Amino acid sequence: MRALILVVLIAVAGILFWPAAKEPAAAPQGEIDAKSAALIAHVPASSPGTRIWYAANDYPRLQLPGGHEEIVKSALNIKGPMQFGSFVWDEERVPKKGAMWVRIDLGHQILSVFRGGHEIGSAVILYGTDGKPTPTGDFTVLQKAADYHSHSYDAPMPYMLRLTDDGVAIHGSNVREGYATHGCIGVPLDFAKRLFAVMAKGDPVFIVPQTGAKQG
Amino acid sequence: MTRQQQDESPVPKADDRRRRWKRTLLLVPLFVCLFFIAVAERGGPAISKVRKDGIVATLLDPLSLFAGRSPGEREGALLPTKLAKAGPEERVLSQVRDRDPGIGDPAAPPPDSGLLPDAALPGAPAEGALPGGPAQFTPFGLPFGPPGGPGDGFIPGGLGGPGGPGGPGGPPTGPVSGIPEPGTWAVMILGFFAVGWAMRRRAQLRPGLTAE
Repeated sequence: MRALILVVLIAVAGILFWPAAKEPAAAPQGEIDAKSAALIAHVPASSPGTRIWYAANDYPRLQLPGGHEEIVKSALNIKGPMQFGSFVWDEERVPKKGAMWVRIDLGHQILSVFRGGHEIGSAVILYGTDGKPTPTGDFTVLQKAADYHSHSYDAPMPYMLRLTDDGVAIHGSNVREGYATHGCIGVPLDFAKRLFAVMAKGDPVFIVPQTGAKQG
Repeated sequence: MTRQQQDESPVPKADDRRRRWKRTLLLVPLFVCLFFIAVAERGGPAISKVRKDGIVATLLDPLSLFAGRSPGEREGALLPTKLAKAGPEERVLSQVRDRDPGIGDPAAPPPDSGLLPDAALPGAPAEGALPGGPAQFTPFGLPFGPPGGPGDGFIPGGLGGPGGPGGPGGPPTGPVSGIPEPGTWAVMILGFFAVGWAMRRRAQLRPGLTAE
């Protein structure tokens, strides 16, 4: 019996100390592990719409059209694919002031609004058909019009942010699956209203082509 | 404990060996179990680390975040959100209309001459007087009269002009096709029913008439 107890004790000690003894061998992984733990701590699994914060010393850099590069300090934590017509807007716990920029990913049909490196909004978009494609590249907001009516299409374009001289703009639209625009970026109306409120003339808008999205 | 038992009780050595052997047999599965538990414990953190690394790799890349929330690439047929501005959808027809030459007899008189003089229709006055007679039986002064005279065969019946004393004849203006339209038929049949009903009513009111 005494031997049995001894064996059990040794086994328990082995269980407790064996992994601990092996742990220092994986030192570099341990750092990532700590970082991941810190990141995961900010991401409650059951609360969509919260924010993913990146480590201050290691902000990811987004390569954008026109040779631009922007850092991302935090991003919206959206669980799962978004529905057409839905969007997320969350500017809590981020600075109220900062450089605005918008990234539009045609391949993924996703628009992201950043302020000071923090993503504050994201929505599913509609974009141009193959016959009338949406141009890609880096643009700036040329004109703002909250209640715009298109002359070319005789259609309302609420909360219009004009990007090109020939009429390509971001505007409120009925975002449904299976629909496409004539080159504009269509976003849900409520999202368009919020985007219109935060964007100013001259703010950059980056439209990433589909091929680039595939590579990324 | 075992030593005490050995010291105190005189157990034969063979029994003692058997007991040890049994103990060893019991311990072997225990050791095996503990070994696997230890391996699993040791492997556990490694597995969870891989999983965490995967999450970190996902979290660290904003592009994969965007991809994760994407509804997917656009596929299939697309519908436009708005229709392209086109010309007016209504056609404005001119006042002058030409009759389709394929319809009707080319020998027919021009349709725009709606009112033809009776004299131009051979036999029209004579034949028109005959069908005018039954108009007396219309009890309620129905607005339609009997069809006009059959004319000379070229003119449709409805066009026949003043038929009899009661009938105002067909509409005098506009071209009318030879075949009455369904509405005309319906009104006509309704009229026959009305006439029939009136006649039956008359017969009931004056039974002497039926006796004759």
